Amino acid sequence: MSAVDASRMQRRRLRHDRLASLWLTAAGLGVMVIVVVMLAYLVSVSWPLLKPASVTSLPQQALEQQVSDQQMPAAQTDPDWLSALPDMPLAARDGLPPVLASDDSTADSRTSPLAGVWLADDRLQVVQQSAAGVRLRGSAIEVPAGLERRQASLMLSRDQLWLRIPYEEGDGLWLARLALSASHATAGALGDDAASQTPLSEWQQQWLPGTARLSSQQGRLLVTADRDGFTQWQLSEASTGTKPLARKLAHHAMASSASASSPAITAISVLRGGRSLIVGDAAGGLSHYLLPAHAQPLVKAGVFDSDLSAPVVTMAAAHHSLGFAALDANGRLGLYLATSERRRQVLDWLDAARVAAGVTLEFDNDDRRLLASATREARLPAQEASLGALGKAYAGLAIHDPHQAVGLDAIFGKVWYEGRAAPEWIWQLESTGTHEPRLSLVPIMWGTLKAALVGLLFAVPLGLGCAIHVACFMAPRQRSRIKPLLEMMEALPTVVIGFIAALVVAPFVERELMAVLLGLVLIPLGTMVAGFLWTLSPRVWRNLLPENMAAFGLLPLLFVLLWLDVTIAGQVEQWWFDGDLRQWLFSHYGIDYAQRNTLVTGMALGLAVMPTLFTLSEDALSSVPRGLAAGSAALGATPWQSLRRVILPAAAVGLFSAMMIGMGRAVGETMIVLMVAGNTPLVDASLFEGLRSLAATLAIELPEAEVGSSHYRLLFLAALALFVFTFVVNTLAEVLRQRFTPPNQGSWG
Amino acid sequence: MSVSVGSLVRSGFRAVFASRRGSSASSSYVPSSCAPRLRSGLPSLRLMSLACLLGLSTLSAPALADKVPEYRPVSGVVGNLTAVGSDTLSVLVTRWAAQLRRYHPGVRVQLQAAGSSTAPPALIAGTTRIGLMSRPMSDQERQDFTREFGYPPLGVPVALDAMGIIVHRSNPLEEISIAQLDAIFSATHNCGGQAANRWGQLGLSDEWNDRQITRFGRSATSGTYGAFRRIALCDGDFRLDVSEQPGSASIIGAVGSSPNGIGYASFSTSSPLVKQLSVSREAGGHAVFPSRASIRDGRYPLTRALYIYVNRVPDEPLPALEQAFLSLIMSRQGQQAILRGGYVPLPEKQLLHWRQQLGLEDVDAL
Repeated sequence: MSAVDASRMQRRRLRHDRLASLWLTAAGLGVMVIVVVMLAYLVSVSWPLLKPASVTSLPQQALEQQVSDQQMPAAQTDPDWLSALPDMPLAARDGLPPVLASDDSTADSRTSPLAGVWLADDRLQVVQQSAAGVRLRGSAIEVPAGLERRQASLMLSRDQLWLRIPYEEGDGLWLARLALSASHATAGALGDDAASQTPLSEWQQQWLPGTARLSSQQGRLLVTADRDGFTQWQLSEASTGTKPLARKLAHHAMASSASASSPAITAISVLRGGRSLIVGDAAGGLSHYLLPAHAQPLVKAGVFDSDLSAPVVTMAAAHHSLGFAALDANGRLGLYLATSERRRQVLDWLDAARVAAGVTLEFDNDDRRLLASATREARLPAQEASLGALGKAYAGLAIHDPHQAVGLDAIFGKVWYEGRAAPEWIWQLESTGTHEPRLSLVPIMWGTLKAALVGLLFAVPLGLGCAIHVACFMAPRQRSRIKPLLEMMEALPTVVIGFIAALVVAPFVERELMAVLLGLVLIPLGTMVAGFLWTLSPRVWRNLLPENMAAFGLLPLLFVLLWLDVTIAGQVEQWWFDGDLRQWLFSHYGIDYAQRNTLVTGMALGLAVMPTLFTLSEDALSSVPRGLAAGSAALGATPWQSLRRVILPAAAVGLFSAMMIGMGRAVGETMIVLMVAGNTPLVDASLFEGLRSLAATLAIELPEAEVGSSHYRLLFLAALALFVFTFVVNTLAEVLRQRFTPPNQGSWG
Repeated sequence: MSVSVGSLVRSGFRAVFASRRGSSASSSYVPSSCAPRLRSGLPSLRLMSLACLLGLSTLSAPALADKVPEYRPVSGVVGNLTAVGSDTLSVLVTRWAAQLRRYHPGVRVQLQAAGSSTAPPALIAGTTRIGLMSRPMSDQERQDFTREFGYPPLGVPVALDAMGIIVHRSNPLEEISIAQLDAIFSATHNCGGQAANRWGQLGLSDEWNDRQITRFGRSATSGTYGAFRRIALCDGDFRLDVSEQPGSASIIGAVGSSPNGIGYASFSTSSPLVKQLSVSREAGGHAVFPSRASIRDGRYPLTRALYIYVNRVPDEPLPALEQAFLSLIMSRQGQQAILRGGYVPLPEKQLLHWRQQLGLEDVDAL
């Protein structure tokens, strides 16, 4: 070859070399860029969760529009609507607006077709508007004198209609109930009560003592309050005429400590769902009470850090959540969420004079706006009487707080939810949007770690033991055959492992629990005992089995131990556990056994993670310089002594990093845990209960979470936590491995 | 003894009914036992075939009454029909789509079945005019729709589905009440009552008295979960230790392999490994076994409706394609497809009521 050709070839080789290194560098950088972009995306989706509420004042034209939106549907504002009523005995009474029924089972309080019309003889007639027209429901009811008719309210709760009217002077509340028939024919699912007839029973009435300050929702909670305490009533659900309508369930006096006197109650509000009560007092404090169970007395869940200094004048509850607004005598408004007593925003809004003249707060149907209007009796002459439940609003706020339920205390702390007896960590979100989401990440983080630890408990002895034997004790020829086989196990799809574990192994373990537990103890112990006995046996026998074939000598022993286990398991169970271990555990210790539990999950995870652990540990052990092992053997150490005192310490960092990578793998494993663990978000240390891991939760819930909702963003936050955890663990493990592994001395073995 | 006889009778009953599920109730079917004689031209030919038909019609699948009209195809129905939502309904939509194509070859139906919760966003975004949901729209979803379009969505119930309560085949329990289901599955017990952890608390005795109750259920994103929560738990919360399974078949598999197990699954999926219970509304009340008849007339408590939500501007008719689709669903052919799909057709009165609501009656008057 000529010199020119040689140099051209040289240049081309250099060019290719540079191109290749450029390409590889770009690829490596590209991977890093992708990781950073993923991280940035996860952060961008989850950080809006931590934003506080944004509150802005509504301009005047928005208020005008708001009032027109809030008014009754057109058919009911039509003055001729009343004349369309068939068989009306007397004309409607002028000046008193119809009483609109609010339906507590839905939030559309203004589109319920039921309304009460005041007749000229002071009776109330309930009418229903339907597509076919307007028809009467029930007979007209005699309302006693001395009641504040303008403050009458109708509430529809399931199949009962409640009418409540406070007394004009003094204390008291007049309560009446009408039972409507329900249509059970289609289990209430079709929502068509065209077949329902006029009511089954007449109006029933009862007078309740207590101030006119009352609140109730969903027929479940009715509270009347006076200055130093409040009374909780239980509304009866039976339609029979003999039982009273409302039964006193409990009276809560505002408890005072020995030194300080407690402030008087100035306002109360029952929140959506009818299970929480907020009590506002004369010092601006707010207390949260909730129902721990159906038809039980309220318990005090906590006290708000309300940041209000004047007496609480009025409150308004939101329609879709447990949020509420409280206004004090100075015009300071606070927005709060009852769950875990969170304060969202406090601002100075109205002036004290307006507040003193009487204010009603109300949220609009979307909970996006809060409107203040004058209460009816304080209405100025210039304002007209309106047919809607709202007077003309004179101030409004636009509230944007989509993630009010999410906060660090809600995610990581114990929260007292409605219907529960104590604060708990609960993860339970429904896709249809419950008004009180339970979004603690603690159960699923706990489940992830528990699954990973139990999986490592199975994987580490197997993988590490395998690696030690293959690297240090096995003959080279067998090693070259066994090692690839074990590494091929890594290619086994985890879906298949999970599938088999869920459908075959879990029922088997449930049936043969004693045999499995006994085997887990018997086989390692039996192997060690057999090894000890082997050392005591005559040399003649021991020479039959060369040292490097010891692994194959263990196989018959394994079968013998399994046979022994199966044989004696039944007998052991009979002697010690009354014949059924599982039942014995449940009867004596109350330990629940779930078919898909942590034990089976750990086994399956261990099997999936073991090949990784094996490969990395084996590499770490092989890369210990041969000179060290040879030197210790030359100095007279037995193989075990060399292993324990020379090789393992030398390979310790590599082994540790192998375990960390195994842990990272176990934490991120999705399919096995999804199929085998039962997906129950429990926080307990029992091996026989199921668990729910982060990865499985993402797999189950993310496809159905509404994009942009709190649930969606919270899942992304969980994904971020998982990403960061596995990233950190794996990076640390790799760095340790690269740093502290001695350079490879060539594969001598 | 009476337990085994009762279960024998019931399984026989079920076998009879199960074999009827696939048969069509069309009146033109002539059974083979009658057919050979017909060819010989006997004078009582018509009488015999009438007798055979009458005999068979009493045994055949719940026949749809004559008041349900047939589907009358109109011309000019072409285009792409998109349906988004529940995978429960996707089985039925596939059948309806096939039927529609037989009448109107120019129609293509595209189905995206990713769950009920995906239907309202798709309707609001305008991706589809037909939303499939196995539960009614929540208030939030309804309000989002109303805010977007100015009118509420129209939810048309098209079929009924029911949840059966299943236990292991060796479990001696035969009936269960809503209150007992609440005691077993609920953490908040909204229906009143106490928690039940042992089978003995449900009235079983001897060796079942001390046995633990193992619960299986669906995940929170499933419509079955929501319906069960609404009806059996009175809108309360599930216990945290209800093992989540991805589908009805896996619940059956799990309960079938777990002697202490109890779970809820779609009534039409069954297996010899498990046993379905009768359900009563009140404790000690009359327990009803889930069958097509008892679901259809509302006696079985754990029934839910499957809905199709359409975006219909008030006082305006739907576009021709969607109108034809709904007309087919609410006709005799569509309701028979529901039977063949394993669900239960609507009660006749409801069907006629909704035909009227959708403006299908006056089409047939032509």
